[in-house]
Amino acid sequence: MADLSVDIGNLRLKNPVMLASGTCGPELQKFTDLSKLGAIITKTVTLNPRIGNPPPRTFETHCGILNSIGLENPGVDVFIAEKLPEFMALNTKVIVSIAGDTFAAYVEVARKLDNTQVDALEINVSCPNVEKGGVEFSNKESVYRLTKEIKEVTSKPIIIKLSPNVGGLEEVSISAADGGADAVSLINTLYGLAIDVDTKKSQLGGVTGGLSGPCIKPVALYYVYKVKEAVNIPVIGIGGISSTYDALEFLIVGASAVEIGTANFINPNIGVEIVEGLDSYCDKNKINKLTEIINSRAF
Amino acid sequence: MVVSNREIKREIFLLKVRDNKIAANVVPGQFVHIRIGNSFSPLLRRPFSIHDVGGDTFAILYKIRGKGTFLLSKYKPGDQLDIIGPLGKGFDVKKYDKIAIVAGGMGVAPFYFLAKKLKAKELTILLGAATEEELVHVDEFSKLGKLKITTEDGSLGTKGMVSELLREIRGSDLVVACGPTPMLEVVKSFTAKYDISCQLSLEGRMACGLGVCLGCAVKSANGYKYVCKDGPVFWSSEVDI
Repeated sequence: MADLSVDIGNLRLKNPVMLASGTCGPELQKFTDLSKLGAIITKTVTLNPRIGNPPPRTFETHCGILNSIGLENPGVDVFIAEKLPEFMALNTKVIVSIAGDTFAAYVEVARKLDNTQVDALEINVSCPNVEKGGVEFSNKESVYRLTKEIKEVTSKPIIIKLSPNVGGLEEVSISAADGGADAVSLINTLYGLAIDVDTKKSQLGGVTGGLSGPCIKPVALYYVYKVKEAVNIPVIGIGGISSTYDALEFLIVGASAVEIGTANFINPNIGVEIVEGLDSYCDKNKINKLTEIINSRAF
Repeated sequence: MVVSNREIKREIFLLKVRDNKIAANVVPGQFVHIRIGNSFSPLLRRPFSIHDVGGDTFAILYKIRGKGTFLLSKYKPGDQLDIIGPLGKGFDVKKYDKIAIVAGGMGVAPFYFLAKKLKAKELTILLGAATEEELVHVDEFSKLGKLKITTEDGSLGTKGMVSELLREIRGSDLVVACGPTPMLEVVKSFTAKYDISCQLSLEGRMACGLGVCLGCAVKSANGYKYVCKDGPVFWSSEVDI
């Protein structure tokens, strides 16, 4: 077995394969072995409970899916008391995704999670499905300030999750790095819409949604490439990864690790298959350490 | 593995699959999540209620509605199918003796399995469809319980909608229903009015099917519940449809 380990700041992952927020949970353990993955990332947690958007919350598009879940979650206190223990029992690294509608809310959630055993926090400043918070915080000034303030209340590794929905993603990544982020992860879902021609209504209860799945992979790869050129901190690649080949594309273009999201819905064992695929790739190409191929692009 | 995949009524197919694990463990009301093809089109799995079980096989009943079901109809005996299941919570019928099934259109899907399991109880079955060509298992259902049929075009049974026959089941102590939302709404109000326990089998667009993505939300008294995990069978009083 090759050495697939990778470091994201102080977070050592045994391999670069993680499962993305909103697409995984202890329920998957019946269908895969989550302990074989680098990490799993929890559904986004907010300070107060959120009931989420009205249904329908999903709609399949060409090679993709629109979602408008709306950050439904039980709030950080219930999460820590009731959900977190199930995650911690999975024998894999646990990264908690957090969001807020004010700077103070983000910071408070980070502070509470600092008292737990979670391995890192992923800061969601890019969810397209909430009216307040999420994408609002995705400009460079806010990201700089938010990163700094969160770093003041926790020593856990901080990953800032970004999307191109507000433009200037490269500059925002630089601000995240300047603010002390240990890594940036990109991309979150893209703004999207679908219409029911008979009713003339949106296919989603929340009207607009976020697009994910294989169709967004080229966009995600583009931004990983651009951001890697702009920052010195690790970049985590997300977007349409459904195979070992896809994961390799991201690693080659500069991602230190990847997150698998939508593909879990199709094959709950995809993460483990990609870990095995990366190992085979290393064997076949006589690579001892997977980190050798990170940012190994030939252009 | 696909055992058979036959069109039994107009555009309605019965797909039989050999899968020991699912056949042995499934209860009426549960569903399976099927990957159709192995490309990105269709992308997501499609959920289907278990329609029947026998030995090491189970069957689903489906109508061709879109790309997914169209491709599913092309599967042949011997083909492998990627199936996750059984999933969800089934019907809770143990405490009840006088049970009524109300099935509208393809809502009949979960009820053949349920009716066969309920053979010992007093069972009334209301079966409705647009036309006789879309009614399934009429002979078999008539042997499993007291059967009443409606067709919208009057080609078999009473002309009209199955929700118009509810007075026939006023004496039930449990009504279980599955079908178009307007039908379910009528059943829900009827059973609430006459204080009859009622379970509805709901549909919802699913992504993960496992309770992870929170996509298949249905409104309930306190927030949302999920068709894949808390359902697909719900007490009618616990959901707003």
